[in-house]
Amino acid sequence: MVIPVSRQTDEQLIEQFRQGSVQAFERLMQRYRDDICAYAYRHAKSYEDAEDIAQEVFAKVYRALPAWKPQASFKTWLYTIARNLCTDHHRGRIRRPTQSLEALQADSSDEPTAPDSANDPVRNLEESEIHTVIAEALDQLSDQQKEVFVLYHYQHLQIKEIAKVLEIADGTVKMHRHRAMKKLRILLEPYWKLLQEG
Amino acid sequence: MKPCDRFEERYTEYVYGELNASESQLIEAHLKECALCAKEAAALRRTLIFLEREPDVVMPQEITRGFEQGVYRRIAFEANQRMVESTNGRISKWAGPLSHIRSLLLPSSWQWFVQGGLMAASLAFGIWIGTSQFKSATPLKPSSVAQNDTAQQRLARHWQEEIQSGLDEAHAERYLRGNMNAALEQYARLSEFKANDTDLIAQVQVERQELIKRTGI
Repeated sequence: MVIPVSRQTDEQLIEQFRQGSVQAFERLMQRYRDDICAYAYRHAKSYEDAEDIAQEVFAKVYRALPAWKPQASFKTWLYTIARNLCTDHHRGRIRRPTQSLEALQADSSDEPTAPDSANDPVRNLEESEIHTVIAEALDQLSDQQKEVFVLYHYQHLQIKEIAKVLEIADGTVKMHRHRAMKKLRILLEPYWKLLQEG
Repeated sequence: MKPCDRFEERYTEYVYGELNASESQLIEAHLKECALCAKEAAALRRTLIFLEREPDVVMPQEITRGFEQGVYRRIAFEANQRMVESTNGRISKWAGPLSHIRSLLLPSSWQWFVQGGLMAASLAFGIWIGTSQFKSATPLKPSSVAQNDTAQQRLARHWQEEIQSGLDEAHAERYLRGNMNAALEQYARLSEFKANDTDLIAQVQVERQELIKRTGI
């Protein structure tokens, strides 16, 4: 019985690719392209850079797939490659200073500053502004907090999958996610209050 | 005042709906009793609702349209780089010792004779390529060839130029199907193949042997 392409598992497509089917690789690429592009965009903040990173992810997958010995799912492996490339990309740039949560907790009066676009609290928030506000808030998280939060909230990876990608324990993933949420609560509170009032 | 340590760590799981029924009931019972925790959990929930308002990241069509082609371009380019590096290593590894052995075994007049024979064989090979194999190849824009470059460097430069030109898709396709033969033939034609270009002939021979060994063609 022929299985429809849309129902073929990643493992089935990988096996077909190993047997010489370039089309199987293309189907894997189509399946994950948008997710990897979006993930790269969260890091790079530029469509062009996100495309570069995502293309390099799939080029690496193409080269490594014939010899790949699965220790986790294909999806987890894909995100591990993507994460490494995003880190490489990030290292090539000047980083914004971030405030650690520890510093935040040590002095409650020194709360993380709300993003610049909050300076005018009476204006309504458009969709693009919401994106900017959230992106700026995410930039104030620590690297691990941001990574965990992006993989969980936007990429919809499970806790166990994130633990594999980042090579940390499940409990550590939950801790980073919770700390990220607490920090985002402080940073985004003026905005959701504004929307409530509106 | 801070929320209660005992429950506070679970509030993110609670607002994401990850807790099982009994865990949720435990949290909810506590929230009814503790105003500070109830405020914290409500704030986390509102934060989550605010985060959900953000539109998904959608890549512009002009970028996604050429996405697959860009991936193949990278694969082809890196395959080319690896092949050239590997060939360079092989040639430099054997060129010195072979030359030395030849000088030890053969008198100088014979060496000239053997060298001439090799060149004649190379010439015949080149003519064979030029007459029988390239008839159907599509002529391309000649690449700029620096006189002092080695054959490997010229080959590498050509492939880079070809990849960067509008022919990247065809080039990537050849690599994907393992057909480097076609790429080599195209290169030889492109570079205004000269029958006396022994470096180039040797290079093409090496690559062809490599291809035969690898693919059995």
